[in-house]
Amino acid sequence: MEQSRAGLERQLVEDPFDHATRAHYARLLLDEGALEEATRQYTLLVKQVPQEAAPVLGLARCQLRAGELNAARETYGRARELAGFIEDPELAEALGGARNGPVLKVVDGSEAETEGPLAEVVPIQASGTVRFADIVGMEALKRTIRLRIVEPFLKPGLFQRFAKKSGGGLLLYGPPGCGKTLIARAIAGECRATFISVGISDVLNMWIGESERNLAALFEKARANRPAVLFFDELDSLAYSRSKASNEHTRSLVNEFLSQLDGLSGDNERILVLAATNMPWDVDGAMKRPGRFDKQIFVPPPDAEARAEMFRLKLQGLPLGHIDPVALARMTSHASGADIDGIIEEAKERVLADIVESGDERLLRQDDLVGAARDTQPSTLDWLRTAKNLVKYGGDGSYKDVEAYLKAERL
Amino acid sequence: MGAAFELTRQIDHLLDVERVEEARRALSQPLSESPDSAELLFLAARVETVAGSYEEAERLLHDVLAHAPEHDGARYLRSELFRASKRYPEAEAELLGLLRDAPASATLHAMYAQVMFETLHVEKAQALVDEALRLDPEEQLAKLLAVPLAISTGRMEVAESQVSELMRDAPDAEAVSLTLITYLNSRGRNREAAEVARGLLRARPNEPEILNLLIELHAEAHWSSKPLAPLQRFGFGASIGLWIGTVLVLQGLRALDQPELAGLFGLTVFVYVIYSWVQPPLIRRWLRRRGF
Repeated sequence: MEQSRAGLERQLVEDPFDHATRAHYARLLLDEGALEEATRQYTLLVKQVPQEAAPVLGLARCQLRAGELNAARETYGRARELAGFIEDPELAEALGGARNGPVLKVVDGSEAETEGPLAEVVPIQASGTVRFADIVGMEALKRTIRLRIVEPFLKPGLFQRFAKKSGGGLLLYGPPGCGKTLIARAIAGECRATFISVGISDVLNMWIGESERNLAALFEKARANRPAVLFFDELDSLAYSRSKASNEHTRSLVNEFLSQLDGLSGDNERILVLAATNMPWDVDGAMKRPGRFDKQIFVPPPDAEARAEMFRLKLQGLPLGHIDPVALARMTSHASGADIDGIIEEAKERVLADIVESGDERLLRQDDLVGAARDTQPSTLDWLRTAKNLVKYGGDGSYKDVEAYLKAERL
Repeated sequence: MGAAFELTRQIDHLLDVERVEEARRALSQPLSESPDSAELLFLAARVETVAGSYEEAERLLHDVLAHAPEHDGARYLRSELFRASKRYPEAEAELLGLLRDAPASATLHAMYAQVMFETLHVEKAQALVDEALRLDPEEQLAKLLAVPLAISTGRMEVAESQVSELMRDAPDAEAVSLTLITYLNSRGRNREAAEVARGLLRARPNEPEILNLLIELHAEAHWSSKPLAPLQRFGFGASIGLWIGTVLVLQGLRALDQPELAGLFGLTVFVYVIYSWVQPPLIRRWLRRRGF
């Protein structure tokens, strides 16, 4: 049944958290051309249901109609990662072939390039540059990366004088949601290098040979933007173990990747190749040989100190009662950053449900967070169990860091 | 050909690298544009099969066959789905239908042999494997099935030559590794079998079946399992032999009027039997806890 704008507004006054009504209202505003108001409604909806794609898509539509192409492209890209995403032909077409991968984006306010390869490029000194200081906790990990990756990249001469090899790639592995991508960005920031982030959809293409060409073009792009950090997310999807692969396309993509890493098609000087994966056991063995991803670093779930800091930061700006982040950190062992986000969201929902039911406003309290934490199973446990199989029974010596972590955590 | 062929390649790749969600996403747009396309529905059925959603896959295959009743890929996949869900009579009926249309297909003979082998119709499975290998000596599934079939019928030299051939063709293929484990285990070479299984676990650490297999092999190779070697090797035959032997020896000792010896012998057998019941689960639990 069609509802009037006034009717919807009345309904929203009565229940501001009725997502379906708000979505309906936002769509109506957009259809009526009230762009500013529609944007406001979609922004609010994105905050209320951050894990759903539909409001983000709505926001992208608003931005597109407002002529903010770069922002629309970015928002549309964000929507692709969320639950319930359905390709929007109008947006995909208007944003330039987004169906097969996001279009190249230069994040410095200059004109966006619209020709492939399709990846996100953050140039040196971009305003959004991430540094190690921006990452909560993980001090030992940051120190290791600084010594093994950043300093050799910044001071190649010093390392050469001590006959210490620099170069080669770095593979970050660990459970999902623990900050591998953020660390990769921070490495680029510390190296003061252009950051080129590549996802599976930036490379994979259904046309014969196109995926390999995309991959080669990405390396070319990095060579043209030296010093550059080329970051491959979900490496296992691009360099899947050839012995497990049954498809010729999978194998030929790995071969092309290997030849690019070896610099057979060009000089890789001043290019740092980083990759991240949740499943290092699925990555082709040849990728881990010297000169390729020969340095592999385990990114564990945040430690208690980091979790406490995350709670402190993520709760900022909310109407809070007495909160003890240290106690929360203690009871959320093995939780990832993403899990902590989930706990906070769940606690907020509890408070809002309480307010709606009782009609009395109240603050977010420790027991809301404790209750939410109790109901949340850390998403890293599955990964840690699998890794335990490897180190305990597989006899694979390449996961010493994981072994040490499992021992320290008594898992 | 064209876009449909290329989309199939893309889906093949995504399924190869275990990206089921991406495969679903890649199909959603073409499927919404052509919801009745048999090829697209078939691709969607393949995606759901890999995702383990067998019911959904079967529903999609039903749609494919409603649009294209002679779609061979859909019929092959449906027989595989029936086999995987242990609906053997339906799998057999589907395969017989396919064989009527393509009686010279080595792959179909091998698939039928697999169904027969899984339902313990060893002789029929052997005949079908022989026929598959006659039609195509390089038929991979037939070569893989030939090994356990040869082992189960006691033709170890045939098993050995088939394993050698498989190892020469695809030494790092997982199916070959599993066949090699079966062969080594049948020869009592559990330590070597465990090493092969360990390699498999390194490639697939998240698969509990492989972990269980590895622990089982390690348990069988453990020094404390040595007294149980005849039972492990010959199974029920050894158990029956043990009981018959015990009864005969006890009667012999009674006839010779040696009650003390008979008591000692009876006690030894009793302890051995208890050991054979208690040791395997204990050693498995111990190995699982301690690792190796």
